[in-house]
Amino acid sequence: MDDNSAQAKVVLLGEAGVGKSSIVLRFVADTYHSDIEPTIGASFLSKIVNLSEGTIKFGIWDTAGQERYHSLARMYYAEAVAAILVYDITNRKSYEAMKNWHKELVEQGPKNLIVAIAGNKEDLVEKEQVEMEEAKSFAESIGAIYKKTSAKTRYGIEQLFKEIAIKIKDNRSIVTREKRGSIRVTSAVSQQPGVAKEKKCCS
Amino acid sequence: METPLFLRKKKLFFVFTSAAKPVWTRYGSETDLSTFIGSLAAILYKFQNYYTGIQDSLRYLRTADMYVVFLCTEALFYVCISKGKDSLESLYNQLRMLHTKVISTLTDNITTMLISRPSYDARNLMGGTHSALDYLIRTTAVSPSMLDAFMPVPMLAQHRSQIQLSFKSHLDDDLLYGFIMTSTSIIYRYCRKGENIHHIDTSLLFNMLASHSSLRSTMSWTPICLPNFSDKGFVYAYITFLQDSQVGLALLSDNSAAFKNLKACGDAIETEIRGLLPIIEESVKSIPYSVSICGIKEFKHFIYMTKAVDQYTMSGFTPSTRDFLPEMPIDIYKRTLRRYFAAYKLSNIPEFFKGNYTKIDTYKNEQIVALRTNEYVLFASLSSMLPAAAVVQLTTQLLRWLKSQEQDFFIMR
Repeated sequence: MDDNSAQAKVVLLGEAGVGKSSIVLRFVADTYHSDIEPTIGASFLSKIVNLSEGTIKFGIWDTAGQERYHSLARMYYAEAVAAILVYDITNRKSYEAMKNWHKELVEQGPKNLIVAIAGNKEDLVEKEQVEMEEAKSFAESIGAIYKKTSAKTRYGIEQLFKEIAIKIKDNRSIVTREKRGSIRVTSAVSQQPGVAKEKKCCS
Repeated sequence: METPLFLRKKKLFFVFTSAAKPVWTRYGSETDLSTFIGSLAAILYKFQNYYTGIQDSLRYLRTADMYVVFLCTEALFYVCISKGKDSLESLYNQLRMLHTKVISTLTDNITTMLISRPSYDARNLMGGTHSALDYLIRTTAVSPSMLDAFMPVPMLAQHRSQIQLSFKSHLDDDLLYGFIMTSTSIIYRYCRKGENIHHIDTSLLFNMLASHSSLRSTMSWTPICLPNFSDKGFVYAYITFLQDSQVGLALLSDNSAAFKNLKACGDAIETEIRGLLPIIEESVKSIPYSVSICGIKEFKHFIYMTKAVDQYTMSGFTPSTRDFLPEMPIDIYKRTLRRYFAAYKLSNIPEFFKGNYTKIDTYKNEQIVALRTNEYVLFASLSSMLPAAAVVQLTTQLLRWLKSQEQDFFIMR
């Protein structure tokens, strides 16, 4: 693959009604409808993002939040490189649900998964039930990106995906370097595995 | 006592568990209805207590202007309260379809779960399905459910076989069923060799596509349980709409990891049928079609089903959209449908009607013909002024015409 362009699968997880589809639609098509229907199963959308380091093609799985689809979510996150955990800042229950999603990802998700937390519905900040500081410190504790977003006003949406893209690029370059390293290993250059290992630690 | 608003509606539906926990209701909120549902459940149990030892349960209650119909499954109970003129058979059919839809959403595991935990609150599990259930009720109310069939749109056989060809040349091992449909019509259906597809499973998939507009905006990979394929688990549907059109492609697999394969398969089919888009859109617009296309002016309406395929066609009205032509206003259609039901009722008594069945009912303003043979079922409405011999002769003429049009009316194998 060309070093400057990459493909990345991203999955959105979170309780029903927190705004997962709205975030995706805002990001992909820059539209917003206050009254969209619940997603069923999962829908797939893609969008290309240009960064100074190159382009990245997002393949986004927007999953349904209803309880009955929960056990099926694995199918969608199993191959993902990044997960966006969405909660509604005006609904504490959805925040707790978001934490449970994280727990599940740690236990069953793919290794090296990039996690981002989106506190959505920033436009309703006066009804906030989960304070930003709390969510932020949780995000820090698990090494996740944290963004407050509003699909309605566009607030934070671009930045959310941009930060994910940058992190994906960073990880990729480490992976690529590792790969190069391993080629040298097979051509019997000593010491190289150590170098690769070291780099992994920095990630 | 003040009557709650929801009780003023013409047709009510309730779903609850054996512990009288509400699962779904058409109007009002499940929470407000808990007392009412509790009473319904109590009535059911009272009757069961009276007749212990008899393997039966309460089927319906009748008042001057109202039916209360009960459908008891292993773990879920369905009740319809109807103040309309619907026949008992049609109400039962609606309740059965409602149950099928619940299983299609949750699989039959819900039964096992509710048997062990009857007080489990299953309301959340049905979240986001309200519009689909409501749509199901609206369409089944006007469907000829006694036919065990679905209605595809008419299309020239040569065009339909072009679609078939594009499916056959891009088959994937993971492909179980395939559909070309819009939110109002079924255009083509594919089924893997050696498998069957049931008309109810077809209707369930159609119901999902028709009632969830969210499917129309993107491509989806969605679980659906098709109870006649297996009620124990899900199959997966890849659903996408052809660019800038209302025409959808649904490819189903029993392999949950088949998204990539089916998407590739779908992309190939899409490219091939793109050229047929104007023809498909034209055929979708062709229903409802006028009864006059049969060329026999005495007929007011007909429904024809052939048993070679599980499909029917009808003039003047489209059950999936409730669209109708001026020749068949919805109220007249509903009355005609009730009369078809009535004329067909006796055909289900096997001791009397093993072979062919013919019934002609005369009403003040029309005559109803119901015919059943091993090959087809026909319902038709004619003018009431005709003598019996003429009715027989015209019906034979109509049948001959319908037979000659089968290739275009139906999706043939």
